[in-house]
Amino acid sequence: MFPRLWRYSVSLTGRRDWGDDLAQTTCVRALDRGDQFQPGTHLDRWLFTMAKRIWLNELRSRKVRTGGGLVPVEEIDLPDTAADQETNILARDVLNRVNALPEAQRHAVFLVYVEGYSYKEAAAIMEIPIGTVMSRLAAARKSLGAAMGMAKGGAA
Amino acid sequence: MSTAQSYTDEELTAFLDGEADAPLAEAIGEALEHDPVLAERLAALDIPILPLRSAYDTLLEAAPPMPALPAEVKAPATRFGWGWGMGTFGTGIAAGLAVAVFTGFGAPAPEPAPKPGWAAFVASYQSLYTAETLAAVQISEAERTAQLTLVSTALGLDLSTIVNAPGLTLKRAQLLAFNDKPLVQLAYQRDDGTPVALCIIPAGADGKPVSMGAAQGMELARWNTPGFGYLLIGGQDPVPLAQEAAVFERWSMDEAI
Repeated sequence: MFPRLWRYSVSLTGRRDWGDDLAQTTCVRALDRGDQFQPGTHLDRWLFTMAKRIWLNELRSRKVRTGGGLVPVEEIDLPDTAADQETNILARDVLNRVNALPEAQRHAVFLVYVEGYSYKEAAAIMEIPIGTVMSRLAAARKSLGAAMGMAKGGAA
Repeated sequence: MSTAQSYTDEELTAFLDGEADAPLAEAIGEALEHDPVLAERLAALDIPILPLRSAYDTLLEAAPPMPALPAEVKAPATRFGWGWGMGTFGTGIAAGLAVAVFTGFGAPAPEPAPKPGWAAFVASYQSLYTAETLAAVQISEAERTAQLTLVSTALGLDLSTIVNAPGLTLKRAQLLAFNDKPLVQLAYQRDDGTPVALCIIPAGADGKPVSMGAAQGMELARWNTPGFGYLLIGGQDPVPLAQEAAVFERWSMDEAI
């Protein structure tokens, strides 16, 4: 579970070092609040919701957020051990495109397309209405589609 | 103008994600057949999801090991200095959760004492049983082993060594659920035909000795070991039930060590 929590944290914060901190902080808080976890419910969703709340609080208190998104959006480095170089470049490209999306869209894309949650489940984790999940995904698809279309056009 | 205008990007996205309800999906599917503008809009939204997922899977390999957490929680020293009031956690609750976080799903995560509702649930269920229900049921040694293995795995407690209280015959071991939690029911029959059930559910860390009671016109005995709640229910006579409960409680205490 920890690798998934870490990946979620990196995706949510858009930065690997912030993701490290968020994943660790979430673990500590989860242990502290273990008595609130309902067995038979989903540990992953519980942890994700908790990480999201911690992150939003951090943003609020630190006022890291300015305008529509985060100021620092870095490229996410992949391990050099990835099997073949070409796949690695492609993966890096996809990650950076998603990472360049506004935070709210990136969050929805991660939960629905990467983690495979339904709209309803993703809405519950993000604590927003399903309609908002839909509009974020639609916006994300639009800009990702445009970016990929341009990349294709440029290569041709 | 075509009907393309009548579908929003959100609806087309839901269509691509398989989240559109049946009438909408059908309508869009139909419109696509004769509406090139709509088809173009859909194509613009249709991004490759699988490469996206596998790109993120490469990130899983990059995850650092889970940090060692102190036995007593203090605010972690992160570069933001994120901090808040942290209670200490010396209890089995936190330890159990740590196991779950480390190992993933399926580890039995402990919780506070089960809600009183589960006894009522079991009692209602048990009240449906009559002597005839179980009389015809005969299980072989192999079936018994298979059933006990199945329920033990679901519950996270080895029931293969469960003792037979004198006068009781095990008729069936089955897995039920209460509030999304596994609830194991071992159905017994007394020599006089009375159906009796031993039910076990994940529960809090506190042990509790046997207490007798009644529900749905049946006698019941309940107790807790660390991690599990037990309920023995059946018949209208508290005397044999208390004797049987004592035998099962002794076994459950041994099993909890």
